[in-house]
Amino acid sequence: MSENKDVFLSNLDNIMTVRDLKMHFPITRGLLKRTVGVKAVDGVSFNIKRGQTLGIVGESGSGKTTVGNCLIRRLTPTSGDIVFEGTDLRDIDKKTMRRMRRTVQMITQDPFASLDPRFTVGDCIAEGLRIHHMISGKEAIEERVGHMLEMVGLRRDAASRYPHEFSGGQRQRISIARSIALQPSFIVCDEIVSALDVSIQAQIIALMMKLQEELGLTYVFIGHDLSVVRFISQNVAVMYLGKIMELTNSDELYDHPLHPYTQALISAAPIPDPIVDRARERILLKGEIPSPIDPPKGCNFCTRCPYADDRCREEEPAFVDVGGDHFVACHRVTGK
Amino acid sequence: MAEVILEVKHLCEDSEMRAVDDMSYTVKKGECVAIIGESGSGKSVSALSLLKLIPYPPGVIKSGEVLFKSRDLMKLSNAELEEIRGNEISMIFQEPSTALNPVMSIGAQIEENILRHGAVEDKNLSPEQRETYKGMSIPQRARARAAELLALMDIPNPETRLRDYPFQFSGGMQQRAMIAMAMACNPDILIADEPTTALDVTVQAQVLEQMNRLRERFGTALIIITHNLGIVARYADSVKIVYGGKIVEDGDVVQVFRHPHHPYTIGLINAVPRLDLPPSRASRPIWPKSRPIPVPFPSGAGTQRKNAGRSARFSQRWSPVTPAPASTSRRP
Repeated sequence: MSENKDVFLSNLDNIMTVRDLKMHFPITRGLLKRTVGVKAVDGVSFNIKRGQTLGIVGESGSGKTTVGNCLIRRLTPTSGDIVFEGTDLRDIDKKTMRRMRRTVQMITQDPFASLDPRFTVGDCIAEGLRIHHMISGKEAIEERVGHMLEMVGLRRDAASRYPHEFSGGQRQRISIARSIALQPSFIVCDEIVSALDVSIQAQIIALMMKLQEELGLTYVFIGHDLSVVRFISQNVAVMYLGKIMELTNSDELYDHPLHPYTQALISAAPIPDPIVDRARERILLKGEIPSPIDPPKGCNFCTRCPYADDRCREEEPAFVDVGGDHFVACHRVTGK
Repeated sequence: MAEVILEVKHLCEDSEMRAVDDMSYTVKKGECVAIIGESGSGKSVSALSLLKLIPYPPGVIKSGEVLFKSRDLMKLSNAELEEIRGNEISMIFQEPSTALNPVMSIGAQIEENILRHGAVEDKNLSPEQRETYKGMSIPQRARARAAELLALMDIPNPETRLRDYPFQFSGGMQQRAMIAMAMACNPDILIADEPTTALDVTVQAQVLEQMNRLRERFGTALIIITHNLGIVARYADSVKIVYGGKIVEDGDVVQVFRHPHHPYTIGLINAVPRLDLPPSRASRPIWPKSRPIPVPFPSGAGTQRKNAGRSARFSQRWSPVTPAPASTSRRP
């Protein structure tokens, strides 16, 4: 991996560079109350280009949400670097951190839990504006809130109403308005469409893409639905048990998936066209994702991989570039 | 042509709102029928109505017939229905963790169904099964049958796992145990209400593949209720698109997906991003303007008022399909 480290840091187009990020949570186990680390994220590296979207796809327990939480520094990583706009988020002082909180935003999955039921929609959106002293004056704030609501396709008079008066899709729009009101440059979207109906999903995705174009935003789009993630992202990282298995641009990922897990994931996601889907080759994985408390020795995927051999069960594969910014962690692909 | 096993005629469910409004369809033996709709479309209520599982009050089945083996299920008493539920027609629900009883072992829950319907009594056994279960008491047979079912669902060490409680099973295994339970009496029809929504994609693929294998092996008709167009395309024979309590499009799976006629169907199919098409070339999402939510009626309203309300509701709902604004195009 060492030869790749410098490649990761060299490109100035990158708004964020993450290198060997690890997030371990201590838990006590067993009769002796021994403390072991749950390796929720275990050595993840990627970089994100300005104005683009990095998709992170994985099953539950893969650590994708933990990565998102580390990127906004809601969690302090155990080790590794997160360089955002040239500053390492791991060692910044409180004041810089506060500034950073404005430019880096997060939108979460559950629009019912993320909005305070006792705040009007207007207050929700204005709260951040007041905290960061971005504008002052009641009228100016009202004007700004109204403008934000219009940007996300809601009416200005929504500001005086309460979150419970809105449907799931509308609430998600309110969450988006609240984030973009602070003029961020970077937004982590954690499963933002998973709780929504398909037609509403399409609307929210279209809205996110429109805002990205208009405001030049950079997204990290976390999801479990490969077709949605691929649709919105330029690059996609496939995570499994705290590690990135494959990282490449979204077309390459579908056209030439190299990692057996990516291949299985693509095969498991049905295509909504009966003729196309029924003609596809089907790869069925055995079993389920192991617990991150007890990850297997060697390659994390070896317990379910149809090609696993002795080496996979002993030695962990390195995450290397196989050419054309296509990173993969698999002995079978990288050989030797 | 396979024999029609279930015929639903003009089913209407009514309470504060009319969730199911004049639905008719047939299910053939061994067929996989998919009922597709978004939340609030009435797809789940329509399935629950088939076995009169709608809580009353407030739910009332206003009219309609559900013909199964030349009997109208809507006219049967609760006791008669209990003989059919879990036996000839069984059901799988979305959340296996809430559908399973947390204080009963998995084995006890599967055996309960087997014993309730006498599935291991001599008269209900095939000659080979009679041979296998020879000399066993009824509870022993039930246990053996439960283990057999878990093994059929690819759960390792079925005999040991029968003693486990639901919390010791993962989500995918819980759903497999639910299917084992539903298949215990070799039903003619299996109704699956969002069976894999709570599962991860790779596990979803496993569970669906197993359900399909069971359907082929035992000739069970499968009614699958879902919002996931992908799994419908993969497994269904015929498709019913539900919107606002009505079936707006009904047809063969290839016909509906390849040549949809109804604007809602077209909108729905276009709203789903396709994995096999590069996003830049994929069709832009087109979606119906408003959501299909049945509007509540004021309680105590007479039929006349209801009908007036309904016509207003429909015109309001059927806003034309609008294409996405040009600015949603992908990538600069």
